[in-house]
Amino acid sequence: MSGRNRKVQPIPPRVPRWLAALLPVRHRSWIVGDLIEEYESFILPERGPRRARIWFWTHFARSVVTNRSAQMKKRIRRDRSTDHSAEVQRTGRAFAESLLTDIRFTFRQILKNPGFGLVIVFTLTLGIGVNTLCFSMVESILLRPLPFPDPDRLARVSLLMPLNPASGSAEPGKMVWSYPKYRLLRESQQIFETTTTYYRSNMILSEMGEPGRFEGEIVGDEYFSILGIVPEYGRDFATEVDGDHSRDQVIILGHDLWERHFGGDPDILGQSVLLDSIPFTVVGILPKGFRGLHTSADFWIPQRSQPVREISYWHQYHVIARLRPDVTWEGAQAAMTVLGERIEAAYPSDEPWGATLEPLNEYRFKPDTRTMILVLFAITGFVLLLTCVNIANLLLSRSMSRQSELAVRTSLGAGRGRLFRQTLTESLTLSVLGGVAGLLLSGVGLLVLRNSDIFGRVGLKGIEIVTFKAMSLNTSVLIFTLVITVLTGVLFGLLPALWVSRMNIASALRARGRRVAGTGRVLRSGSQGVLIFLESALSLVLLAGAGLLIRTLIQLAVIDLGFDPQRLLAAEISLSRQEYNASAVERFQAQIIERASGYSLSESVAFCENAPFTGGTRQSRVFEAGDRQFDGESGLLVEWNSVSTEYFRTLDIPVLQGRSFSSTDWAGAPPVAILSQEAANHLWPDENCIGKTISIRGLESAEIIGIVGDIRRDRIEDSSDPVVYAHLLQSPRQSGFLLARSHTRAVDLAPAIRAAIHELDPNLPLTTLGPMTDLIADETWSVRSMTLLLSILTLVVLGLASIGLYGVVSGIIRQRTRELGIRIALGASRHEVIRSVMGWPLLLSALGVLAGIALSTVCTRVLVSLLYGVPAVDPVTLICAAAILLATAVLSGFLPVRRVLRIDPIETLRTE
Amino acid sequence: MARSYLGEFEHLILLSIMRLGDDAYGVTIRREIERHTGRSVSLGAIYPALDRLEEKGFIDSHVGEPTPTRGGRAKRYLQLTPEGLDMLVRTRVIIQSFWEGFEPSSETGMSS
Repeated sequence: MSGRNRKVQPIPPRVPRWLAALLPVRHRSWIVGDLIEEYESFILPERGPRRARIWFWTHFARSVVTNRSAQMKKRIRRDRSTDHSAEVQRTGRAFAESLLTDIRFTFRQILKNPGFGLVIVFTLTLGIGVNTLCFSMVESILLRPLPFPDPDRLARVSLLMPLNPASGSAEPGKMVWSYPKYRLLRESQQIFETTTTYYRSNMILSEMGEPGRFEGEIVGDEYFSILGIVPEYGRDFATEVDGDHSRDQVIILGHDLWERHFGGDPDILGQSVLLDSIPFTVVGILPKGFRGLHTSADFWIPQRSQPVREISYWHQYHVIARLRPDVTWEGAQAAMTVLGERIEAAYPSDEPWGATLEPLNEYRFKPDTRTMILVLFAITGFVLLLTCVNIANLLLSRSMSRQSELAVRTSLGAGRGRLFRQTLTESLTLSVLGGVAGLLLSGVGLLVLRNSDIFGRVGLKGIEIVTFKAMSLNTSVLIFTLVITVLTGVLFGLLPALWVSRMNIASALRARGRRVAGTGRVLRSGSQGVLIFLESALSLVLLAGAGLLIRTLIQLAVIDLGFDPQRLLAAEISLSRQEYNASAVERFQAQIIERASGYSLSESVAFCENAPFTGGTRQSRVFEAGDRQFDGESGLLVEWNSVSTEYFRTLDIPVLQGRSFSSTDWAGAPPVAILSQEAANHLWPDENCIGKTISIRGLESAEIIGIVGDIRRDRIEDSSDPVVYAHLLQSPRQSGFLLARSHTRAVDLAPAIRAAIHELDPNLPLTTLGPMTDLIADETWSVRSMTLLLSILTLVVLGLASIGLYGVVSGIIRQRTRELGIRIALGASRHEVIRSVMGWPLLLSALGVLAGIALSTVCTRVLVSLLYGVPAVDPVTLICAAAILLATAVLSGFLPVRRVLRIDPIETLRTE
Repeated sequence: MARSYLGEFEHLILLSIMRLGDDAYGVTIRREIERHTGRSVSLGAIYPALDRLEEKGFIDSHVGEPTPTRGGRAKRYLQLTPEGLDMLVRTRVIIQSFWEGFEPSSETGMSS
């Protein structure tokens, strides 16, 4: 190689083993070797890399084809004087040529009748594209391991809570760690290479005075190295100067935050940003794509920089670990059991706790999300199946209406096999067109999904986002698309192709040449009947599914939340400890309530620590209820909320017994509490608890002054938890929510609230400000989107079915125009005519509907996890679906039938 | 004697092997045929034909060393046997006998 020619040699094409297997073993390595050698030595220098590759693969394909033909011929007894190799060549080439002809024919057909072809290709694009998208979701979620190095060695380590019979589950619940227990884990185990902790935190990040509230994770030093994440700029926490704790206030920024707020400027490294008004030095910037394991995090700070809670029952720390290479999962689980006993010995409780671990791969999803994705996948597959049936029907109708032309072609020697092949080729070509377009569609969809913030909006967190963002059109997805494209083409092409090749030529030619004289025996196709039947059955299942989801939505909309979310505005207000001490907090909260109440639009204003449907909660065990004492973890677990005086009035929560908070309950007065109905029933099931005392962590011996109604806190479907309410002045909180009910709409109040907050503190960021109804709507997002999707798909499918049925009825009418004309002339009534034309298709549709009802009793169970207030097998929905489907069938036949009724009998008789 | 004459494709292959001498294998045979006939033949058709010719005893084959240019695969070298050469000569004689006394003219294509 001379010094002049410094071009890098391109790598020759690789023939994967499964592809080479198409060639027979004998010749395989020689042929592939020859191809590679010719490519490298001759073709590549002559033609350049791209054309050379085309040459390579073309020749590979030809070799496969001609070799196959040669093998076939070898088995036939040979005529001595015939030259078989040339014939083999010819046969091979003839096959390829006829294939090309068929493909060209298909394109010509599409061009001649673009509407027809486009409808088919369009539905195929939709069907295949959506299926591919779902499969890539399924693949990245369920099939591929996490995108971290050596992901099978990563484990999530949890504490095992004792079995709680009240919770109704058979499995002990998992819990995160408290720091003392975690220390025990670190000290006394040998199975982990490294462990680390992480938990999420909400802080105000500001730089240059532009505040914003962001989520971050507080992590151990080895966090990034366990996950194999290397910062794009700077360093991670592990490479830190030992023992020099003055350098603890460091922060690593996420890529998106860095681009959005810091302009993507690497000079930010080494500078300080303010986190809750404390300066932190930026030491690293992460590569794009990682948002933490627990939440949608934008920044990370080391555990070292935060005080550790040395309380054995303050469980806050998530733990992940990397197993040592020689440790098995069974061995690790055994070690966990031993560790659990050790922890129990060190921190005893009424019921024993334990420890466990699971591969991080399996921890990825809430079972709900996983189910929903699988359900989505099943639905799209179902829809594709239905689409195939639809298209088969359309093609069959078209073939039937062209049967005279086909008959002529057959009698002229086209051969049945040839016709079969041609029809099937046509189907496969259409399918491939749809498949390619569908692949492009899914590619676009993936791009949109990956770059949008939809995952955050939907409530996906941390590790789920990591998995979702790893979705791509990789090899398995492409193979999937190829397989379903071919399967689809075969599925909808087979029936028409079979019909065409088995067509009774003689009668078809006869029908062309002569008129059928009123035999009433229409050329009905059994295949067509089967297709109509299948179509109706499958469409009914789809309709039933959509109907169930719609009913669920209605149920969710009318559910009693326990409070009135209408006209209610929620604003999150967090005051940093640095700037606000206790009395400043109290003053601020009082002032903001006063100002907000002052607006004419305000009906009522309150402040609370945790507002419904905002995701926050604080829990505690009851230590004392009346005369009873509970210790450790045996008391009832309640939620507790600090609220202002007007809370219950603002939210319209009924006070069932006793009284609400009033101005007599202030900081110095004896502590009081209000219980929710659920809490009261749990603690004092048979007595009135007004006047009794209750103690929870942070609230000692509070007198119970009232009982209020239960509310749905976070998920509409969940039942209510017991709640203990304390007064804000007696149990002050640094952050919380301002809730304001407006006389008109909630949004009308927003500018005023924003102005009021700004007046009091211009530096306070407002992250959540919006109507309560929006927050609730976010909760039902998954059901709503599923319903929308299913409804769209159902409509598309129904549309196709209508077109199909229209085609069938039109076909029937066209065949029998003369006969019908005669019958009308002879005095047949409209009803008789309609019945004779539409009777058969309608009958089959009705039978299909019945079968569909039976089928849906099995299929709709799949939606169970999404449904609410509606059983999976609901008679009302089924009847409605059946009615809609039958109505569609009748309407589809309507237009052709109208034509029938306008037939002029004289005309038809004249053309005899 | 298995045949009285050779088929077209087998003939071309034998001729190529004859011309290529020691250097006759898949790639070179293919290119030789392509060079002379202008037709691009595929390896997938050549190898079965080679098998047949070997069965009939007209050629011998041996496998060479694997080379990196071939992605580590070996080459199958072909060479004519005496029977093969004999067959070629005889075929040529037959064809020449047909052309005895005829000259293809450029206009009509035939003249006697």
